[in-house]
Amino acid sequence: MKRVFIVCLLAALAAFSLAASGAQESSREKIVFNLSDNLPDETSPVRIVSDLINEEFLEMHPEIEIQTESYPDQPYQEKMRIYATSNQLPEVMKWWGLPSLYMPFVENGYLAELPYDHFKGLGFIPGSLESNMVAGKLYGVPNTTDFWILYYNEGLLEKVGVEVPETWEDIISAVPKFNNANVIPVVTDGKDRWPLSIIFETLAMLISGDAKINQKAIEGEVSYNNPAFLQAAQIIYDFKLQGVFQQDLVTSDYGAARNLFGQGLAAMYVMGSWELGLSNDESFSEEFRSNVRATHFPTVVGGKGDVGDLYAWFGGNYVVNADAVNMDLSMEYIKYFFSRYPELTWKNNAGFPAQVVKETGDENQLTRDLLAILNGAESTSGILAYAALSPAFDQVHEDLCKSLAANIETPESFITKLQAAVEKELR
Amino acid sequence: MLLQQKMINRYLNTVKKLLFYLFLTSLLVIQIFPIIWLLNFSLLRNGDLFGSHLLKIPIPPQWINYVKAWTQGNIPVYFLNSTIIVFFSVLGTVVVSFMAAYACARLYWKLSGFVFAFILLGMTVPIHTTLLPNFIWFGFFNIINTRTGVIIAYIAFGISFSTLVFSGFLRGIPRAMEESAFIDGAGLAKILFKIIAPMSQTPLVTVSIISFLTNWNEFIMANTFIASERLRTLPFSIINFEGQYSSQYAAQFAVMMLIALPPIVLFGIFNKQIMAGALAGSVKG
Amino acid sequence: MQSIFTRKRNIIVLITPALTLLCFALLAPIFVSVYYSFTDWSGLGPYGYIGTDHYRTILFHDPVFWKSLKNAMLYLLVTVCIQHPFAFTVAVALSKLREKTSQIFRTVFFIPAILTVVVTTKLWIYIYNPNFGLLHNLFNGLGWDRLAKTAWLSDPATALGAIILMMIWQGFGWALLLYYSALMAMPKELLDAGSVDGVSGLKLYRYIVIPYLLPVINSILIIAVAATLKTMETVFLATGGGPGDITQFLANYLYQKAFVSNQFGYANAISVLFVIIAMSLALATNQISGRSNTE
Repeated sequence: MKRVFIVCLLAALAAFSLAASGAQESSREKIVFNLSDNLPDETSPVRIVSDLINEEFLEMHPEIEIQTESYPDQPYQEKMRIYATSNQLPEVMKWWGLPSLYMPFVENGYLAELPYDHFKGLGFIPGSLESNMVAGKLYGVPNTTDFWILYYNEGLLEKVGVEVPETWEDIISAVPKFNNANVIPVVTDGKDRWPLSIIFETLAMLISGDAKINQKAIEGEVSYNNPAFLQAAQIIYDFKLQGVFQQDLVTSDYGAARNLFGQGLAAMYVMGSWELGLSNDESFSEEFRSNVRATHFPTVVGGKGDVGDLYAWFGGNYVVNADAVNMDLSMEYIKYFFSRYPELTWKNNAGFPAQVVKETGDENQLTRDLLAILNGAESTSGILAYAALSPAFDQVHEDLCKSLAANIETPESFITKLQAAVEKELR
Repeated sequence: MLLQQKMINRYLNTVKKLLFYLFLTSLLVIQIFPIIWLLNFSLLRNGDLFGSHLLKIPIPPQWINYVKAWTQGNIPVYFLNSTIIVFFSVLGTVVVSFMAAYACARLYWKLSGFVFAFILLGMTVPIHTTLLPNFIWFGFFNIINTRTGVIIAYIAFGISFSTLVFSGFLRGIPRAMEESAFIDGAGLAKILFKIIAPMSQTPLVTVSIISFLTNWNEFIMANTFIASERLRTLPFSIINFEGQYSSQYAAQFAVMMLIALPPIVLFGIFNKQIMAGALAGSVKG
Repeated sequence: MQSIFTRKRNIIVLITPALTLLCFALLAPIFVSVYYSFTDWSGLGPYGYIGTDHYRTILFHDPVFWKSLKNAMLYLLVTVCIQHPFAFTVAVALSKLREKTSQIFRTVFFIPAILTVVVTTKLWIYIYNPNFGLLHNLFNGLGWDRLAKTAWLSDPATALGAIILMMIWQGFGWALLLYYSALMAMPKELLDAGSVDGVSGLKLYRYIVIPYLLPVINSILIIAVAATLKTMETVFLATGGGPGDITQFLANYLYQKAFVSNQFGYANAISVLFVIIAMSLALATNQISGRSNTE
């Protein structure tokens, strides 16, 4: 009996596998056009925009079939490096302009040169395209203007009885109120670590009042022993005991943190401006969507910086594989993508493009909040300094910030190790 | 006096027995509760996860989570890939190691002990140390990001253990069987497939099941060697789904249940063989 | 007797596929690894030969490497000194039950072992979640506030323990199964003879069962030792080795070095050392058990 069963099972499996390999042959008639991005969530506004553009492009090119691979940031970056090593990169892909990611690809000839003059005509904010030029050549087109802010749930703050915070001290002194109401004060993505690195750099900027201090530090102009860095480190170190962030900060990933906020378990959320779409994310309740707002990243009492100092950079970035099978198609696609991107993004509340957009006047509350922050900026950091050197330094920086947040490093040992790492890098 | 003693003894025995069962049952709960919890929450609404219940009766059960998991999580494709890869891996592992085990355990040659030891040494090589070099090495042969590459790796990593199990069994078969067949004029192929293989049903099933479980559940090689969405295997789907539907916890749990189901069903059917085989490997080696 | 059982051609035909595959997918990559371990390759583009620099850095200046090794040893210790004796005890307990009852227990105990690590790890991440996880709700219900708020995987004090617990939980079924089958395979006469002689209870196990099963226990332990070094997925999915390097294990470390930090050469050097460690450990276990067998 059992033997008959096994034989049947094996036969079924064999038939199944054969049928499967047969099925895959049939879809090969169209030209396959390979794309990849870090937008796996089909309901996110940014993804919706990218899907819309693809649809339009398909209408223009009925002879092709678009295959997009999407993964969350961390696996996406690993995957693309693996693709690069084995020479299997997709044709058009998202690849960050951050030097630690961008330069290895540029230097080893994986990226095709893009026509600067063409893109210049598409209304890019001055400096945005130029930040991606290497030796006078453009290899990647930024798609977003990103800045680092604090989202909050207005209704929840009212319920807890806490004002919208201006400074970190405001938040810290309100922690007992949050605890009583059983609400987590602030959440962010600590598992992927980069948010912690950005928080550190933003704090250093706000304490020193110098928007370029992080850039100077990685260039060796300012030492990490500068008191502003030590104070920034101290603030992050203290978060844990003060209970400012979720208890499992260093193991909460992006989705986990975002959900704590979206499900109304946390009152505030430190993240970049690309989360603009929170106000129309259908996964969350209507109550949340109408209550979500944003304010500037909290400042530090006694710091020389103020709300006018904005930690901002040009992000996103799309590139073309230098060995793209369909090179003409790839070039046409990336040009089309950026001709449609700003308008569609703005219409769908999907973020701030790196291109100039016209305000329509009927932006929602969250968008108006973000516009106010952006328009109030007097100086901006311009780059993510920690990611401007090698991938190894990027890792060290992020790891150290995570260890600091977990209180494994003291502020002093953190600073010492960071300085040692940057010196090693500059040598 | 004596009666009293007897009663006390009896009482003590009952307590002992009670404690004994209490111990086993609590262990049972520790081992199984997480899985019941997973099943339970896969049938609830998203928001229920944030409540304070340990378990909650799902009224009505949210089968929609499973529908979502199946249709949106790309599960049919992954399922198919897993099936294809695992099928050929199991087949390959069984055939290749059976042959090797037979040569080592039943044939007379000088190097048999050495070769057997070499094969067993494979067990000590951690999979992870081959991840990086194989990535380059397989790339060199153009089998990176293909099913073939993964299947080869799976078979190679299954050989050592399977050969051990087979040879343990084969060493116990009386020689007379083969020799009389040989005198009757049978060739080696005939002896192997017509006489030895049918006798070896137990280890064959054991090795198949264990290699099925190992390969079905394998994650890190599949994750490293396969990059294309259309070639991905099932364990990856939970990672993918997490990114795709990060706020749909219940559906994520449903995906986890769907991945877990085939091994559980198989285990239910072949319970005895797995148990028998697990020992064969460790005892007779 | 010149027969088909000694013919070279037969032997070669039978043994070639296995040896080819092993050499291709296991042995060759080790040599590839050795080659790249002497280079400064980032994984992309050109590279140069740098001799034994990586090895010197790893052995003398890389605390994370040693930390990973220490963690593996700790896990090994917990496996051998706690999990296995415990599994043996439970196996003995199960062997006293009626077959039907014992089978139910065995089946349930074994279920975690047949699930993919991806599922069990994700499951435990939710269990450990300090905001809404199973443990949080459990301790909350009991009124143990401090425990309810512990972030098991994030707190440096509990992270490693939490990770090891997950792995022990999953591996317990295998260990139990092996010991149980070993006990069942023992000749009944041996036990009967023991009880006739008046040896009973713990003594029966101390003087008769355990000595008899020693060879089996040894081979189970050898497999267990090899298996402890092969765990990476749990860490990879749950903590990524963090916070800091508190839950770092060699396999995860080399993966990160290669695919996150772009230090492919360095990662290969770790890989080579890892193979050496794994093999010596296996040989050492074999030696120790071999000696105790002959005693």
